[in-house]
Amino acid sequence: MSSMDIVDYQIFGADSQYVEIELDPGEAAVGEAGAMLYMEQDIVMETIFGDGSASTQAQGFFGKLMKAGGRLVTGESLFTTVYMHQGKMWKRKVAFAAPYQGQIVPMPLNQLGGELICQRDSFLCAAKGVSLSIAFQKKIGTGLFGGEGFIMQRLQGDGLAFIHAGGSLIERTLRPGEKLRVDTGCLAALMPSVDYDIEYVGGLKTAFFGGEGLFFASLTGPGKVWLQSLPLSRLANRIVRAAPGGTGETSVLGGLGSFFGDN
Amino acid sequence: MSTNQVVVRGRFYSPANPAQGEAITAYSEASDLVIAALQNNGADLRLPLVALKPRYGGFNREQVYFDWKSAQGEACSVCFSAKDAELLMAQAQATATQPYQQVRREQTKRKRRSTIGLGLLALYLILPFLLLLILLWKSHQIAAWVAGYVSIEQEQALGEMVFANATDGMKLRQTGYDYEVLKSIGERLTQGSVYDYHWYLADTEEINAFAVPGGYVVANTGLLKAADSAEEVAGVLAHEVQHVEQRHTLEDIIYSLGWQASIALIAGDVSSLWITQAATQLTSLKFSRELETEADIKGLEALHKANIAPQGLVTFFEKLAESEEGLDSLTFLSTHPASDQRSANLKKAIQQQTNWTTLALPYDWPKVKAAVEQNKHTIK
Ligand SMILES: [Zn+2]
Repeated sequence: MSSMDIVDYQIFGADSQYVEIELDPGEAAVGEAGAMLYMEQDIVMETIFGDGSASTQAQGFFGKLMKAGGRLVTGESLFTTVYMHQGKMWKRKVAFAAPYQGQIVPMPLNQLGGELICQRDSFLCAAKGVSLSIAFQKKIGTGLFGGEGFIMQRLQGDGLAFIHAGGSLIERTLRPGEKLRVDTGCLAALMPSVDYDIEYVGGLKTAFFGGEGLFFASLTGPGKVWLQSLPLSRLANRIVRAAPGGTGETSVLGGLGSFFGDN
Repeated sequence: MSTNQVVVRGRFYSPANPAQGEAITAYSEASDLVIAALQNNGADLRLPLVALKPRYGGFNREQVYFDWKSAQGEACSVCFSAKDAELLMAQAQATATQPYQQVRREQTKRKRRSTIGLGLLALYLILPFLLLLILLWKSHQIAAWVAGYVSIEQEQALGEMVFANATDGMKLRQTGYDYEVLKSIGERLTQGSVYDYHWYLADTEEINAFAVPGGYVVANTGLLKAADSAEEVAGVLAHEVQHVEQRHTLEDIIYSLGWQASIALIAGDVSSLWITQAATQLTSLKFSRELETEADIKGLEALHKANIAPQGLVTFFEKLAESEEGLDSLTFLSTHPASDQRSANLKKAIQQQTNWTTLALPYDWPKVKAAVEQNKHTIK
């Protein structure tokens, strides 16, 4: 028997989207507390330790603690909020909104091999039963220069998850061995079968005049990748640079901090 | 396929299913990799290993992919866990697995580099804290070690600076009969020293005496008033002087300096605050029990050398502890507790000295006390 809840949903809006999830009595969805837009009556919001997936419920206290610790590292809150329809009848709706302009993408994990790795802040919500954990990049180059890609979020299960992509979404299927170079921030999600590496592009001239595109994420198939045309970091960068007194320069320590901290 | 053949699970990626691939089982035979019963046509796919290009791939490069081009020129790949790939290759003909062995060596090298790199990064991030811990742990030893590199001249210069700070606001004098007696006792005790001693009397009721590196010794008039004989003052001075001679105060200043310097280093803010702080602590310096014992023993030796009766050192502290003077003697007693253990140790050390020839100190003690009272009023 599948542990996930069958979820009906509808995505509204053009530039600034939100997703409305329809829950049958007893069904539930998980989402970051800050992403909830509205919920109808009978839906009870409960904050739980962990992510509410069957695997966390089965684990002992230490298992939960480890997983919660992992969520701390990814910058997510320690607790997940579960939105459960506790009524006896009727369908009820809960809606989650995208944090900024972009697209909400439904990700049916059962059709994607049961696992997806996404950018930390890309995850929006999921059917209860999707497990959330961290996907830690162990390759040193990726760790140092991958920016946001250093610590990503792993979604596992066979339910439906919703990803938010800043700007426009580009979905690409890479053939075995096919390579695609992407700005590190523009990578929204990828299948675990995709090889993810950081490549230094260009010589000294690029280094001095090329701006931010010094290091690219090099993605090698097979597998699907999802790209976002407007990552939050790029948007923030422009705003900081435009702000009075903002220089946008970073020190070595600042650079180090940026992949541990928020982006 | 022989019966002891290892069959492993993997995923096969073809143009028909490039994103998700399909689950397959595979085994190796001689120089071929055999993918069993594909879904689309039900037939085994036999691939010569030499035609496959092995590589590590996937999100964290934990899988082994074997890439090849189909007869139609389409990219195909089959993927196994690193462990299963190793099993497959172990079964195959050694010469056919050479490209795989090469890739595996590179992967091992890359992993090692990665580990070293992450280790260095971690070290870089925790280094300030590590240094702080070492400083905390070995701080006294480090201070003693640093003190060994300070020349007498440097010590005297540092002492001058600290002395100026420590005595800021104190009423010091170098005149009067009481001062002359103090200086005379002090000089008896420091004959032959490498330090150039300076003696000062501070007009305050508080019973205290302290010594600054380089040989600046300050005694309070309160000390002279509390003493019943020149020998008692000599005992206290002999002890205090040893804190200079044995460089206890210097080590302590370096200790607090190093401590502040390391905090400033980590906080990224260096100021000259430390020197003032080191100086203000000086009048109430509390040395470790070991250093106090050392000052006691070396002080006794100095008294012995100067032919001064040593009992004053013992009796003065005992007297202070019992006296009603309480508050006035608080500072000195708190830094020099008159424990029974200490008295016993001192008495034992005195008894062990057999040929102790003592000459009574030639001072008019009532006159000293009178001078203390008299000069107190004139100094203002
Ligand atoms: Zn002492």
